[in-house]
Amino acid sequence: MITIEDILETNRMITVNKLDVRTITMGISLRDCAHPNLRDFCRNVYDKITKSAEFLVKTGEEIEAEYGVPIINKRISVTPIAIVAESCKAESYVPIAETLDRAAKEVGVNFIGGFSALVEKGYTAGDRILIESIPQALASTDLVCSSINLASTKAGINMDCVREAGEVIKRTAELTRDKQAIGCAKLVIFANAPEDNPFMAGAFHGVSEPDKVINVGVSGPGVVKHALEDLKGANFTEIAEAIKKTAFKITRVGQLVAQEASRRLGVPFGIIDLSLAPTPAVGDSVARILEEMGLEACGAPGTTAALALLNDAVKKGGLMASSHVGGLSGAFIPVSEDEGMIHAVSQGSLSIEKLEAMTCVCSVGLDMIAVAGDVSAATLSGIIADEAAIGVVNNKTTAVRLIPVPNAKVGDVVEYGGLLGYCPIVPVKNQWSSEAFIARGGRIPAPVRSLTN
Amino acid sequence: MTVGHLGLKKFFCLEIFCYNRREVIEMKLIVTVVGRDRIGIIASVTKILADNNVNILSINQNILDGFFNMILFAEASESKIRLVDLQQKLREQGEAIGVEIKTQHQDIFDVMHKI
Repeated sequence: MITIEDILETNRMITVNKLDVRTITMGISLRDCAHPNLRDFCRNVYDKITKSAEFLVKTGEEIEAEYGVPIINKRISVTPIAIVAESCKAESYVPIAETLDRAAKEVGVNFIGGFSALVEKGYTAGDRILIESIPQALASTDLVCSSINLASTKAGINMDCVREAGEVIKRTAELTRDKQAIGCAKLVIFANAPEDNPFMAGAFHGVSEPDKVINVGVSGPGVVKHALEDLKGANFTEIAEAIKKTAFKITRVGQLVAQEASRRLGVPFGIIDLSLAPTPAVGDSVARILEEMGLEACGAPGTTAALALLNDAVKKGGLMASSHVGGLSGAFIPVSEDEGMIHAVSQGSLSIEKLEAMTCVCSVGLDMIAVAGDVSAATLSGIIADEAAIGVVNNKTTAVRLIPVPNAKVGDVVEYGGLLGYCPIVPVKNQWSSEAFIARGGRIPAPVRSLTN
Repeated sequence: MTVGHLGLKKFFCLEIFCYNRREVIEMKLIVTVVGRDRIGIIASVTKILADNNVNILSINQNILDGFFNMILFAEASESKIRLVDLQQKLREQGEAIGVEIKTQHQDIFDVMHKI
């Protein structure tokens, strides 16, 4: 029997602790859109997306109203464009990105992901064209998100692509310099990318996915922090239990929304992504959860252990609450999108090196970090290589979303607004060059999966 | 305090015609009202529910420090109004009398608090 206290608790989570469903993402396969003529291909893509997602936003808004839980984003992910566009006779895929942008605007979604290439073992011709097209594609569109998967535990690390990715990030920053390099906020470099991730900018619709699918990403750092506020001085067994219980409740809301969206749209339910996704709003921060565990500031020694516990407990609590779990599932640690992380970087308690350590135990990687404009492509590639190595060796997803802001220096603050937030320029140790290391190219072999000391 | 304590034996899982999808689904509602106390809050809320054939199952209401709090359980088997339209009517009425009125499908509470 539901109690008055239950009702008050749920509504407190939503109104005070900012519980929300972060995204309903419709995955759409574009495998049936391939065509040798670029114009015909673009028409097929536009028609399929606009037809498939015609009622996505309206349905999301109805569910939001009926249950009284905010659903912040409605998004689309598509099959990696490098795969489906490869048979086109084209030298650039920028027109395809523009088609995706038009389709996304037509159906009213916030973002469309999948301007992507999967090159962990090597390039095809389509992969090369797509990667070359990324900077211009991100500069000439508003809603298109792009990603490259350049490493996996099974294949190792494609170091040719690591080198190229650093250059792509720099060119993207240059082409969007009038908007503080915002193009780079829409570009994720992955290792072990999941094929059913509903979160941007890294969402794409994997080749083994069904024709259409509904994936839902939940959120709720504020709710977890609130649960811990009542546990001053409690030991970590009690902390882990409290996080699990809270994650269960959060995930159940996501499951309800996913099932309703699936039923109303007539599209199969894929997965729930059990993520704690922060926002720049006060009270919606992952960093503040870590501090609630007893750290004076995020970044202090103990931060990695705190994050490991949080990430694990979120998964354990959420797993039972949903019939299918996937995506990134864990705690995100973006800098510009988390009020506590921004504060920690501003006061100097959190460095990019500590963030790198945290990515060993968080759900993704170095995310939404603004760096100075004079950080070289080779240094960015070095950071990408390090992050990919962490993912490959630990058999987890890692990612890099760095923003080298032209003309910005350490001490400056860049502002993006909305969920992208703002970020002080994070210092990088770029006085020591990675140039010769990155110039080698080739592949770092896949790691051995035994003898794991 | 449970609904059982309020004298209600059980919830009825009733079904209504859902105009969105033209199919039959369950529909139980929870209306929460919070705001500064004044005469006629319950009357104005329940009138809208009655006018739209929404049946009240139980009401829990009190005044704390001059603030009115009410949680109302209802079912809408006979109602022809769409939930979003009912929500809007109640919200507008709340704004007119200076209280916040929130109307939600009961499923969100059920999934969160029941295994």
